[in-house]
Parts: sequence; structure tokens; C-alpha cells
Amino acid sequence: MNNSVYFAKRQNKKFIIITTLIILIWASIAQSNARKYTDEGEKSFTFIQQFIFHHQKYEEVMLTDFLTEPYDGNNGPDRQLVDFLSSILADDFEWWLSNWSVETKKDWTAKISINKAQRSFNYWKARFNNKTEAQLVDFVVLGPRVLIGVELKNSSMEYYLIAFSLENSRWRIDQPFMDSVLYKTIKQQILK
Amino acid sequence: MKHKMAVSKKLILLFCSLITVYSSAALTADALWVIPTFAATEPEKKMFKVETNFNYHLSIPRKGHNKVNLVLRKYASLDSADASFISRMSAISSVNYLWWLDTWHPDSKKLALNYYQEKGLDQKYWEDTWKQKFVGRKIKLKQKVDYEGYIIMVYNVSEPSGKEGFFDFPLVLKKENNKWMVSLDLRKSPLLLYSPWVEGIDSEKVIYE
Repeated sequence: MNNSVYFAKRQNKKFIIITTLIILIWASIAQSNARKYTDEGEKSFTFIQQFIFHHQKYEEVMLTDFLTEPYDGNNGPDRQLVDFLSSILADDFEWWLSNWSVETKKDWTAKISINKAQRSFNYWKARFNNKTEAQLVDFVVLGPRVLIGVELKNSSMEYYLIAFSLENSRWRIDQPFMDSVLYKTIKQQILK
Repeated sequence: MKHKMAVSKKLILLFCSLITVYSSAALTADALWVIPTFAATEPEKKMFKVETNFNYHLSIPRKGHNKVNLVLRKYASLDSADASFISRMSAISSVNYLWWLDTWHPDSKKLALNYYQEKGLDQKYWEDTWKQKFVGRKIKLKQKVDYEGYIIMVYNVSEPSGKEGFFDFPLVLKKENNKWMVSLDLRKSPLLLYSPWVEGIDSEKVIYE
């Protein structure tokens, strides 16, 4: 009994010594840091980006003339949208893929394990077919990009704002941009 | 009479060319670089703002603590941001490429080496650069910034004359497995781009058109 009390006291003493040492070491580190630096406190920096864009509304433009084969040229971003929708009607994956930017395709190649490109193609096929009415709504110029708003009317109506940028003089759809905060913000502005 | 007519003709020509220049300038100002190919309304100029706020903690080395004292590799460590910063500066100043590689965070090292390879910046390039820009220079720690788990050590490398260099450089450190290593994670962050601690600014506005 006496022995166990003795050992318990010894353990307690050890614990107190170790704790004191840890506190002392910690305090000396904190003190040395405090000695080394003057604490200037919390600071704040606000980065303000002001975006100027040009917005045009299409005048009741229903898309009716679709292509039967890819067009390799630059007839403007809205004609590229027609090319894009035509590739879906033609159920031509390679043609459809050619409408996307290099960065987009790079990202899809990295996500090959989840078959991202094919899944995206299926997504579009589910939204656009030969019974869908496609109406152009918005034409927005934002810096080097053009965003085209299109309504796809099936049983319900869905609005898509598709971002195009120039790549080797060809308009290509820019998915990384459409994933950005900036894209979401401008979309809200256009839908206001 | 003939002379008068010639002068009038010149004036008319000058007037016409001024009108042409003026109207073409006005047209350029209004015209967009890309237009819709289907019927659409006239372009309307609009604007919106995106504000991003960054909060950071600033410390400034006290007098006598801002001089970077280089160490030998055997005394170097990555245990704290301060120690890692000294390791990095010591590796560079002693032109030790392998040591320099060991101060990188693995992800950032991969990114950096790929980029350097693309640009042809090999070991020799770095060693030559360090010999020219670092060896024998005084390195001064100017600020220490604590931002969302990253520590940014802001430093200055002197001119050969000993005069303070024109630019201050940031070194971003990130802690992983109890080691502070050099990171490129903030390379696109406006906080690093504008380094508000250098001029003491609290905001920056950029207009994109």
C-alpha cells in the first residue's frame, strides 16, 4: 500500500516536471518569435475587379438550319453554336468534341476514368434533338470571350449560356471558364 | 486668284479629311470586335464588380533580426517557416541544386520542374543565375505574412554594392508532415500578385474591358 502511494506520488511528480518543461519550451519559442518580430496584427486586402461587357439581345431568332457535316472556319461564335448543335443532331461524337477548347479536352482526357467527355456528350444529346426548338437569346462580349444565351425548348424550357473563345482563329467552347466564379457572376447579371 | 483657289481647295481637303478621321474614330470607339450574325439589338454597355477579400496577419522582423544568417546544410531544417526560409536561401547562396530541390513541396516541385523544362531552365541555368544574383549578396527578411495556413516570407537581395535591391521577393511556404516547404499554390492569387504589404495598400481595382 505504502509502495503504491510512493509510486503514484513519483509518477505525479514526473508528470508535473514534464508539463512544466513543455510549457517552458513553448514559452521560450513564443518569446523568441515575439522577440524576433513586431506583430502588425490582422490586415485586409480587397481585390476589386470591374468587368465591362456589351450585351445584345437576339430578335426572335429560332435556329432551323442545321449542318450535316462539320464546318472548319470562322463565321462567328453564334454560327459555331449552330455547328455545335448540328453535331448533336448528327450524333457525331468526334464532330461534337471538335467544338470544345484544348483546355476543356485536356481536362476531359485527365478524367478519362469517369468517361467525362462521353458523359457530357450524352448530357447534351438528352437536351437537344430534332424535336427541340432552339432560340438564340443573348450575345455578350466580355473581353476576349463571347457568351451566347440559347433557350432549348423540349417539354420544358432550359436556358444555356455558352462561352466561346478564339483558338487558332476558331471559336471553341470554354468549359473551364464556365466553371469559374466570374462566369456564374456574369450569368446572374444577364439573367437579371 | 489662282493662289487663293489653291488655298481654298487645300482647306476643303483638310476639312474633309478631318471629318473622315473624326467619323472613323467614332466608329472604332463604338464598334465591337465581334458581332452577332443573326438579327440582334444594338450593343448595350454594362458593368459589374467582383470583390474578393483577403485577410492576412503581418509581422515585421525587429531591427537586428532581419539579416538572414546562412547555415550549412547539416545545421539546416524545415521544422519552422523561419528555418525553411533560411534553408532555401542557404541552398541558393551555396549554389547547391540538390538541397534547393529538397526545399520544394513535392507537388510544387513537379509543377516547377515541368515548367522549367519547357522553358529550358536546367540545373546549369539556375546555378549560373544564383552565382550572378545571390552569391556574396546580403539577404534581408522584410516581412512575414501568415495567410490561410501559408507563410509568405518577403525578402530582399542586395545589389553587388551592398545597397538594397529594387524588388522584394515573396517565398511561399506550406506545412505538410511537420515540414515547411516551398509552395506555388498562391502563384495565381491576387494577394501575392499585388503583395499589399509592400506598399501598405488595402485594395486594388482592375478594370477589364
